[in-house]
Amino acid sequence: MTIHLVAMSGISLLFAMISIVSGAALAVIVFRNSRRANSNSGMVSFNRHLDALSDDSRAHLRQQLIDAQRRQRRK
Amino acid sequence: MARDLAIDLGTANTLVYMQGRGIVINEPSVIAVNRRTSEVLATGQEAWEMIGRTPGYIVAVRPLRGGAITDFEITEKMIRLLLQRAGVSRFSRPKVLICVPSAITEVERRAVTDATRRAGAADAQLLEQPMAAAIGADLAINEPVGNMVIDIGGGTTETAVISLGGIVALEAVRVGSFDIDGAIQTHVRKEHGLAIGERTAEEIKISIGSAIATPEDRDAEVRGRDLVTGLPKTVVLTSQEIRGAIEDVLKQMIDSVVRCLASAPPELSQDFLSRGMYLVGGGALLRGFAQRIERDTQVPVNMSDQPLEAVVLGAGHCVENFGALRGMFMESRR
Repeated sequence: MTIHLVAMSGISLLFAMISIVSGAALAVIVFRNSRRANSNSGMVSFNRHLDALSDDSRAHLRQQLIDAQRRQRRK
Repeated sequence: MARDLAIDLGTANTLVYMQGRGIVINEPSVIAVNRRTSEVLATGQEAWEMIGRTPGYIVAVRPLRGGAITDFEITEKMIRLLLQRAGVSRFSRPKVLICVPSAITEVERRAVTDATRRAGAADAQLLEQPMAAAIGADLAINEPVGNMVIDIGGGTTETAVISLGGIVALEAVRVGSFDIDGAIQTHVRKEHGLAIGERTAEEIKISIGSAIATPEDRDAEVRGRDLVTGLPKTVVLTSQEIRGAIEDVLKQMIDSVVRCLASAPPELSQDFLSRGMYLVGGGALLRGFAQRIERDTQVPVNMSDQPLEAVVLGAGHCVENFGALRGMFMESRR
């Protein structure tokens, strides 16, 4: 009975170790992938930032400036 | 759905921009409060007209001085009223972007954002005034070239070099057009023995003040209280006299511009000579100031199309592109 229990706990220990190692490997893969994604997202957000300040995107602002000038002339 | 707001919380004027609508509020940053009950009696233009003319129990004040918040409680009340007037309620909570001087302290920064959130904003973000001014002046700050903007406000003068959507060099001094008014008040008191209020000093600055000699130089009659007799008195002031009185203040402003030019990277410095600097803010309207800066720095100076509204229009552009420009906001960077 005792021998049987020792054998069983050995097998459980083995499975526990395998699951810990594979969990850690999975975590490393996910972390590395997310870092790769973050470096891309940095570029994407920087380009979005510059696009939002570009000449084309400021067309709305120019209209506001014209409106403000009109308002001032009316005063 | 709530429309997001941009607020230019200036020492002199407060402007509010509403997403998709444009500027909805433009009025002096003044609030009149009943000292006994702490109730707000008036704000904006109405409160401005009360300055120096109120009975003892009413106080009409500017909650910001030198670009700094002098009274947090009154500032919170003012922000709350502005948001209410812009339609903010418990069921409609917008994101709010507030333009503040770049030299704002951590305590002031937290006070403004906390006050804005307490007043009903779903999110409160801060943006440096020179950055908003550069966008509002329609400068191509997304390009890898040096753009220089000088924002002369009521309490601060801020000069910034901007390239690739960010601030490269910045210089701020807590000296603004109210200091010009203060210098005029001091001069009239010392040289003519006459006490005048801040509104009169501002009127003198607008009517005969200038930074350099101009063909429009003229005289003005000024009324005030004789410091010796206590009786009303009239004196005549000249443009030349006022120029002398405000010279120290102008020099401090120009020195800060020079310091900013000196701290800019050499690659960008050459761009200023071809593109020039851009002047925004109410202080930029002082007669001959652009020419004076140009003379002292040897760099061309251009006047923004809308010097008084440039900051809020720039912040309004950020509100229209809130997600894409979030990285520029002070709270997001912390």
